[in-house]
Parts: sequence; C-alpha cells; structure tokens
Amino acid sequence: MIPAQFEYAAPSSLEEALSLLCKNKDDAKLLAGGHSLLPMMKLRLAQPGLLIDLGKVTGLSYVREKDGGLAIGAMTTYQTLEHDPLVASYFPVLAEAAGVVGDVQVRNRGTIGGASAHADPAADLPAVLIALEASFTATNGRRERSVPADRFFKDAFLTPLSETEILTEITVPALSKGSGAVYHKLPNLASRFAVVGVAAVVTLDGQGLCERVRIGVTGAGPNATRAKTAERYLEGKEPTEKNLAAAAQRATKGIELQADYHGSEEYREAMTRVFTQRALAEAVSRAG
Amino acid sequence: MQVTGSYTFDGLPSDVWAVLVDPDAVADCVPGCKSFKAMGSDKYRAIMAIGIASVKGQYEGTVSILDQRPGESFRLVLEGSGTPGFVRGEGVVNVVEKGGKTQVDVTGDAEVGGIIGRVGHRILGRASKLLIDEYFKCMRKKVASTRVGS
Amino acid sequence: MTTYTGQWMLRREDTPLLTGNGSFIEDMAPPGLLHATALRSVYAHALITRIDTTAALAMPGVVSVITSDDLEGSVGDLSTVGRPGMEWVEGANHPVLARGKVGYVGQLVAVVVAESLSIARDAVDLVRVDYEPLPVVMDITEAAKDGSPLVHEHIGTNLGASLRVAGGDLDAAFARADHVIDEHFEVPRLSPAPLEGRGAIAQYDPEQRTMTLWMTTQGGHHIKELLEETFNLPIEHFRVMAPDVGGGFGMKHHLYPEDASLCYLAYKLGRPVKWVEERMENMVASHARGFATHVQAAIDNEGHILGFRARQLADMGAYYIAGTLTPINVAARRMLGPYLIDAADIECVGVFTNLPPTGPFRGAGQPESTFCVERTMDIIAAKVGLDPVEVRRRNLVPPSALPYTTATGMRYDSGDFIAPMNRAIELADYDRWRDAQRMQRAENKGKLIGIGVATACKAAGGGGASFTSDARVVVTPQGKVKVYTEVSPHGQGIETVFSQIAADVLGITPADVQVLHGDSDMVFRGQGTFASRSLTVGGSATHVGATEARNVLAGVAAQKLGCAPEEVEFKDSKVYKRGTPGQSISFAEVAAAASATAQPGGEPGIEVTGTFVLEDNVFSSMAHIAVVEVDPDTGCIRFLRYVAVHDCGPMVNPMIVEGQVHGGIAQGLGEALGEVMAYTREGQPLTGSLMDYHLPLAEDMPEIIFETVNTVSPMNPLGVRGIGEAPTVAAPVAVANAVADALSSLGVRVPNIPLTPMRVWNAIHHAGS
Repeated sequence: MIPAQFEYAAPSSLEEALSLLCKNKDDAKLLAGGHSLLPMMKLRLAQPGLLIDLGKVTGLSYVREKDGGLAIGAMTTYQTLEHDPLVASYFPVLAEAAGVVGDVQVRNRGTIGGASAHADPAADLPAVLIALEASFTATNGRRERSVPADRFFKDAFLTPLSETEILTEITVPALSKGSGAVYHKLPNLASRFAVVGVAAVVTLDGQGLCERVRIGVTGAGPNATRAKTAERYLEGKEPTEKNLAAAAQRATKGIELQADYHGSEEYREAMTRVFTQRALAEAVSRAG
Repeated sequence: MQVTGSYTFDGLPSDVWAVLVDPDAVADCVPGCKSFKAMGSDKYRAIMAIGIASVKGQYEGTVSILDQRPGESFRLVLEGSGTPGFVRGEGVVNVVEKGGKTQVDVTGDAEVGGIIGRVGHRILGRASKLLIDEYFKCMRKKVASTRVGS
Repeated sequence: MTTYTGQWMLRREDTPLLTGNGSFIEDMAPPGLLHATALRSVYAHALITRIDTTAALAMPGVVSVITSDDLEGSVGDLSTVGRPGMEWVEGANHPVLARGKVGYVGQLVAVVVAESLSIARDAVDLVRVDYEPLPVVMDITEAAKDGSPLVHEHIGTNLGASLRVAGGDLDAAFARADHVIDEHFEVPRLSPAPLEGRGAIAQYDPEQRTMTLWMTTQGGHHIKELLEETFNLPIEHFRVMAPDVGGGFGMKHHLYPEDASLCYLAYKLGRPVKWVEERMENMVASHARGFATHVQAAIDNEGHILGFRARQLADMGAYYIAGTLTPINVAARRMLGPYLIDAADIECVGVFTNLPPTGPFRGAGQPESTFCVERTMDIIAAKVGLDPVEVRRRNLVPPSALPYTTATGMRYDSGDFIAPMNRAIELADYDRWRDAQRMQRAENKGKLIGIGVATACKAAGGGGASFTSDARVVVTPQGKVKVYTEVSPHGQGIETVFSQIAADVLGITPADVQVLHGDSDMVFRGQGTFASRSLTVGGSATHVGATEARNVLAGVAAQKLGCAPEEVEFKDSKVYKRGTPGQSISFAEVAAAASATAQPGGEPGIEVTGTFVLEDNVFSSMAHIAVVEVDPDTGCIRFLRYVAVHDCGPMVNPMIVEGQVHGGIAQGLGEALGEVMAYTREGQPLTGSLMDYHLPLAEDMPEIIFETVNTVSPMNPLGVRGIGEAPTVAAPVAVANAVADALSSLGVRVPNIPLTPMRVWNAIHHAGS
C-alpha cells in the first residue's frame, strides 16, 4: 500500500493553507483526518501532487456556544463530538451519531469538516446536520460564505465548495423547547457506513402536536437529503403511530435510490421508511 | 452494471441523430476527452481524464459507433483502461420523436474492473450516470447550436 | 503425573506478540534485499495478447520484470496433492505466471523487482498488458452444465475432479422410507482472511546450491516438497523457514505463484527478494467453500434416517493449487456426521470456474457437509413433527455403538456423541426458550425467536503422511529441554502446550522446555499445522520423544540411585527411586551425567527423536445451540444466547481451548451472517475489500457459553481429539437452523447463508413470489 509520490505541507495558519491551495488548486487535496483520502491514495485511486495537512492549522478545532446553539470548528474530531460536554448538553444526537461512525481509530482522526467536505453518500453526520439545519461556513481568504446543510450535500462526493475554499466552521442553531432528536442507522456490516441512516428532529407544541419536523436521510440516495414530504405531512399532526407510519411512507419521496451489494433500491426504500418511522417515534418520545 | 437514461432534445430525430454520431461532437462532449482520433471508419482512439471527487484517472481506449441507422439508432462500444482500472461497455442509443421533440434512450451494460471496480462499485452507478448526464447535456448544446447555425 | 497438563497457563507466545516484538516476514531484511511487486489480471477470463515491460525496465532502480516466458523450462506449474479414490483431470495445475491467458481476477501475470518497494510499486503501473476477454463462467451450477463456457478449452469440461463413496443398500432404504427429504443447500465462497497476509523472502546460496525461503506458512516441509516438484534448476536443497506467522486457517498450506516466482528471481539475480502481500491481494489470492449440494434422505415416521444420498458440486476456481482436492475428499467421506446411517451414496464433483483457486479452510470440507446434514435434521424434525433435539437423539451414534464405521468408511474411534448435546440443552435453557418462542408466536408480533441446534463430529489428524510426526528432543547438560517439532504454529499456542506436555513427562517445569519450530532443516520430515493435527499428532510425538528421553535419563539415574530404571521417578525437577523422594538427585545432575555418555557430535546433551504414528483420524464431537431474534422489518439478526459444548478429549491448556473455540465460533458466525466472496457476472469481485467483505467484529459476537466433555481417545497417548477447527463446523449451521426456525413461523424458507439483513428481508417480503 504505497501511494504515488506527493508533496506534503503542514501549514500553521488558515491563510497559509489557503495560499497553498490557491497555488495548487488542480493538484492539491486537503487532509482533514484522512480515513477516506489516505486509503484512496494508497490504492492510487487518488494521486494528488500536494497534500495540505490542516491538522496543524490553529483555530479550526473547537466547540463553542453561539446564538443559543453551537459553533463547531471544521477540524473537530468525531471523538471530541462524542465526548464534548457542550455537544452532550446542546445536541446529544450529534454526540450519539459521532459515536457510531466507523471505529475508534476513525473517530480519533476523522473530523466533522473533513467528512462533510468529502460528502460520502453513506456517511452518518450529514443526515444529522441536515436534520439539525446546520450551516457550513467556508472561506477562500477573500470571501466567507455560509451554506445551509440541505444545499451543502449536492450529490455523491459533491459539495458547493470550490477548489480554492476551505470549510472552517459548522454552526448548529438552537433547538426550540420541546424538541427531541435521534439518529438511527442500518450499518453496512463490513464498513459500518450507513446502508440507510435517518436523523429526526421533532418539536412538539403545547398541545402535543408536531410543530416542526426535520428528517435527514443518508445512504439511500446519492447524497444526504431532507425528507421534506414526510416532514410536511407530519407537521401539525398528532404523533400517533399511524401518522408516524404515514409520514415514514413518504420519506423516500424525491430520493433517487441507489443500489449496491449491501442494499438493493427496494431494500433501501423499505429501510428508509422503517428507520424513519423508528427515528420519528424515538424523537417524539424524547421531545415529550 | 446496467446503464439507462432518457434525454429530451429540441429538434428533429434526424438532426439529433446526426450530431450524436458526429465524431467532432463526440470528441467535444466525452467528459475529460484529451484526444480523439479516427482509426478506420466508425472507430476512434480516445484519451480521457475522468475524475469523481479525489479519484482521478486517465483512461486510454476506443470508441466505436456501430450499426448506424440514420435518424433511428446506433450502437456504442467503449473500451478504456488506465491506472485505476478498466471499463468495457456497450449500449444502444435509440432516437425517437415524441411530442414534437426528440427523445434519446440509452440502454447499456458496462463492466468495470481493476481497483476502481473493487472499491468503488457502490458509487459506480451514480458516477456513470453523472458522466452520461454531462455527455448528453453537452450534446444538447451541440444540437441547439446546429439549429441556430442552420 | 499431570502437574501442568490440564492447567490454565498464559501463552508464552503472547508477550512478544503483544509488545510488538514478534518477527514476521515484513520485519526481516537480509542484506542486499530486493523488493517484488505483483502485476495481476484485472480480467476473469482473457487471452493475453501482449505484455510490454519496456517502460518498467527503463525505470531507474528496477532490476527485473519476469513473465511466463522467463520461467519456460526452469519452473513448472504448481502441483496438487491427489487423494486416494478420487479422479481428477490433468492439465489444470496453476501456472506460476499466467501463460497466454488468465483465468481469474487477481491471477499473477508478471513480477517486478526493484531496489525499493516504492520503485517496484511505481514500475508495476508501467507494465502494459493487452487482453482479449473470453466468456466467463462464475456459478458452479452453470459451469457444470453442458454448453457452459469452458475455463480450460483443452480439457473440454469444467468437471475436473470427483469422488464417490457409497455403502449399504441405499435402494432398499429408499424403498422402505415413509418420507423422502429432497433439498438443496449452498455454502458460500469465503476468504480465509488471516490477520497476516502471505509473504516470503527467497535467498539463494550458489556455493551450497541451497535455496532458503522464509515464508509465512503452516508447513515448511510440505512447501519444500512442493518446491522440489516445481523447480527444474540445479538447486540441491530447499530450506523453508517460518518466522512468526499471523494465522493461516488453511490458506497458508499451499505453495503459491508468488513464492515460486521469488525463488526463481533469487536464483536468477543472486540477491534475496522479498514480497509481502497487501490485503487487497489476499482477498483474491485463494478462497474456500463454495459448495452446492443436492440431498435426498430416506426417513421413517419416527424420524430415523434410513439412507442418505448427496450430489455435491465444489467450486475449485480456475486452477488446482496444492490443497484444492482436500475439501472434496473430506466433504464426501465425512458427509454423514455423528449419525447412524446404514446406507449412503455421496458424490462430490469439483468444478472449474473463472474465480481464484480454492482449498481447505477451517474444517476443509466438514463444515460444507455438516451444513447439509444438520439442515436436513431440522427439516426431518418438521416433517415428522418432532423437536430437532429429539430427532438428533434418535439418530446419533450411541456410545455403545462405538467404534463405529460409517457407510462412507469413516471410523469413529470412541467418545460420547450424545453427552455434548445433553449438556448444551441444559446450558442453553432450551425448554425456557421454546416457551418464550411459543409466547412470541402466540402474540404474533415483535421480533421472531428462533432456536438452532447443531450436533457434529470432526476428524483430527488428516491422512497419509500427516498421520506421522517426529519430535526431536534434546536434554542439555544443564538440564534444559529443547523440543524440535515439525508442527508449524501460527497462533495456536503450541509452544506453551508442548512445553506443558514435555514438562510433565520429565518432571520439570514448562519454563525449562524450549519448543522450536519453523525450519524444514530442524526436523527430518513433517507436514505442518492443519487438520487439527498439531496436538493429536505433533503433541503425541512430543510426548513420545519426551518419554524416550526420560527412558535414557532413567537408565543413567538408576545407576546413581541404585535401582532399576523402571523404579525411577521424575518430579519437581528431581529424580528419585519410587517411594524415596527424600533421597533425590536433581534433574540437571542426571542430565549432565547422561550427556557425558552421549555420542559425540550434534548438540551437547542427549538427543532422541520421538515418532508418533496415528493409525486413523481421531474424532471429536460437539453440540452448539444458537438462540436468535430476527427483526422482520429489517432482516437483522441478534443473538439471545449461544452455547457450545465440545468433547475435545482431555485438555492440555483449557485457556487455549476456550480461545480456540471463541475464534472458531467467530469464523463460523461470520460464515453464517456476513462473509461471502461475491462477484459480478463478469467475474469482478463485489466484496473484494474489507469495506464490503464482512468479517465479524468484536461487537458482532454474542457472549459464548462454553463447556467441554472430556472422553479419552485410545488413539493417542494424550487421549486428545483436537479442537481448532471443530467450532467452525457446527456454528454456521446452528445459526442457520436458528434463523430457519424463526422464519418458519411466517412460513418462510431460510435463504442461503450468509444471512445478511437484505437476504433475510427479501426472504420474508418476497415469500411465495
């Protein structure tokens, strides 16, 4: 497992990293954990001429309160998300989801920003970040912009990030009172990526009706996506088993179902519905 | 791996068909095409640089446009290999008039081998769809510009 | 006299391994070392029309690129080991380097050698091979049909090998049957997936004309024989050595194309050459299992099996390697399991496919057949309305009938095949789970409970040459003992276990005993570690050798003690006349005195070679019970209980026995639930990396409730029956039976293993379609 020859740079500042990226944009890859990139390099499927390691860039790994929610530095590891007290108190669902990514080695190295920018269609966190309505902040050094999660994961391995941008921060807005959130997945038993993963956030109003529902689905289609039809169906309704089931039936609407050895289109469709129903039920019980 | 797709074009089937089998149009529209040279009639040698995410590779191979039935259909045979692996595909392209427009239906079968097939199979279907979509999007522009030109 | 035998002792092997101080092929670098990388076929079946090595050879640092032309006349095809009574076609031995065509994805086409591994790896990408694809045949059932594409045109058929074994009056059995069970079972193609892949270093000494091959192998002596058959060069002597070896499971008992290529390169280049496999290469190097079996069982209304007929197809892949015929031999002969079946006719046919070659893996044919018989037992139970346990109770060979010879000619030496099942039922709380299942079914909702039983027996020893083992035992003048064994450990804890055996025989401590292995020059002959033979045959040889050494020492001690040699006792590192332990001399003193009388030459001290010959295989028996719940909405399976009871005979080291059982069950559960080498119909691997091939993870494992039964076998001085492979025989089908039982409440037939969530879900949701 020997990669093709490449140059390695470990800049200490974001400016330096952006400058390197700008100069080598056709030939550079950012290293932000590397559990997807390095295997591809070792298999020689990826042969970047320059690897820019963001690991030494200061100020990209943090979790802090922001406008009642959290701001998370792009280089924050899964391990941190899993164990950080702020994450645990604001968004336990994020900690739970981070804890089911890969294995301990992956969680120690992998970062929320690296995984997001990689946009693997079977990754876990995108579903959760979509359901939590997170937004992604990126900069090219001259201009900073923010993209909402449901427009960030465009297609398989495709995000709106340009070749000269670096993702710096993920912000997660506060959840209203009476909200419950959960992430459920059916793992590919070998890789532990999601065959299907569903994150649900449900906010109940004073009467116990579903005031607001957000569902993020990963694994089923070419990109993580919101199940908007299911959300709309359930909003304003009582969270009865029947209503949850009817909403779950609508969870695959708009998803271009993918197939591989571990899941046919039909199986992914069925599992999206099953896991949506289970996630909704659990989110409701946590909201109550 | 089954590959299917349907694409709608403005224009007559005969015009669309003519663009689809025009080697210059093919050369322009094949994603990442770096070189496209005729080797006898209906067969071309091509070099393509194709990348999905960080997986980039250069493929060298041939494109054959066979069984040409003007205004109706043709058969496309593709063979390419490079460091990441190889692709062998064969598809039939049918061109039919539909509601004043032209519908192009593609049905084919492709074998992908080498390391890209080994580790990438879960994404190959989507990747090939994106590439074919890109190809026909480009072809649509070609057809449109031909119409403007004529 | 068993102070140490039977004790839990930590493995002496573990400290270096766990502290990173092991020495594997990857850790070795003789001076002047060159590095090899492999160029492999990306096609499953194709003609090679051109190989262009020019660009690779032109790269600075590249020393050589070899293709099949280079080997012409010097290195032949790899040989295969035949089996008595079996027929097999000639002309399908695995070529070292692909000659004109390739037969599977991963086949070795060329080898690049360079001054560094990085250069060699870069250069491989510069070798250009042009292929002309040929029709591919993947499925054994298709391959066995007339008109199928042929893997070997010149042979004219894909049916390469066959063995038929029969006994008793089968026609009469079927004539008087109340029912006939007619079923088809499939067991998937598996990757043995040892923790360490393959790897070797070859070095040639032109002065001595000696080729030394350091190799991660299960049996250096066997490899040496295979090399001698393969090479046609003036090499006088092959020496094969195994450093630390990280698992093998059958996969490392073959000579592979890479090993032969390295020897050729070392010979040609005059420098040592090393190659270490990558995981992606290992996944397509060689496989195991891949059986499809048609079973017909004649039964009566009481659930007794009157006769058994089976026709099996075994996937051999594209070529024979050394052990390809072994699973076919074992599957046919040992089909009938631990049951009284008077009449049988079993035929196993080996089929060529455009897939990697196959060989033995954990049980080598026994799990393949046990799967069929044990599924059949449950189907019989359903047919005649009995509990699966009761059907087994009625058919198991009772202790009173042992020794028992099966209709296929297997002799079961001794033991108690019913005792493990009885104990497993108690440990599993079987009746309580049946009650829970009845309640779940009455409520008709939630997860489906299923209970699966498997009873089986498993041979230890192998056959032919592997029934013989030599152990060279040296007692040094300082009173230390060295045991040189031909057995080739790679994770089994054999150094620990053999030291326990020798220590007890000689009345010393295991710390006084050094166990040495892994060098074909160390012991005159041998076979290595496989077929659960290490303890049964090799451990017995150690016992014999240590006993012979004791006899020599007793003669010397008798003179000092003034008694007859028969009266000399060895205990607590002391030697004394029986009954007078107070007047002892030290073991070291006796060793020193004996050394003085030894022949000059050789190692200081006395030396004996103990030889043990096993007359026939010795059989262990087992019962596994799996209780599972199946989620009908997702197809996911979860264990509620897992019980394994094994009669392995007396245990030398119960800790190691338990470890072996845990490992074997993990592999069995992997086979049942996730593992399969799946391919596209063009022969491209779909599960060719560990991102898709589901080896069981720690979190997949249930808690294992394990006990032993310990009946003593008369077949060897230790009374042991082997344990390494046994759990893998019962576990897959115990799980399959449990899932079948769960699904039966829906009227759904269990799909083929592995029982992945999607397969189970499909079975439930497409039942009847």
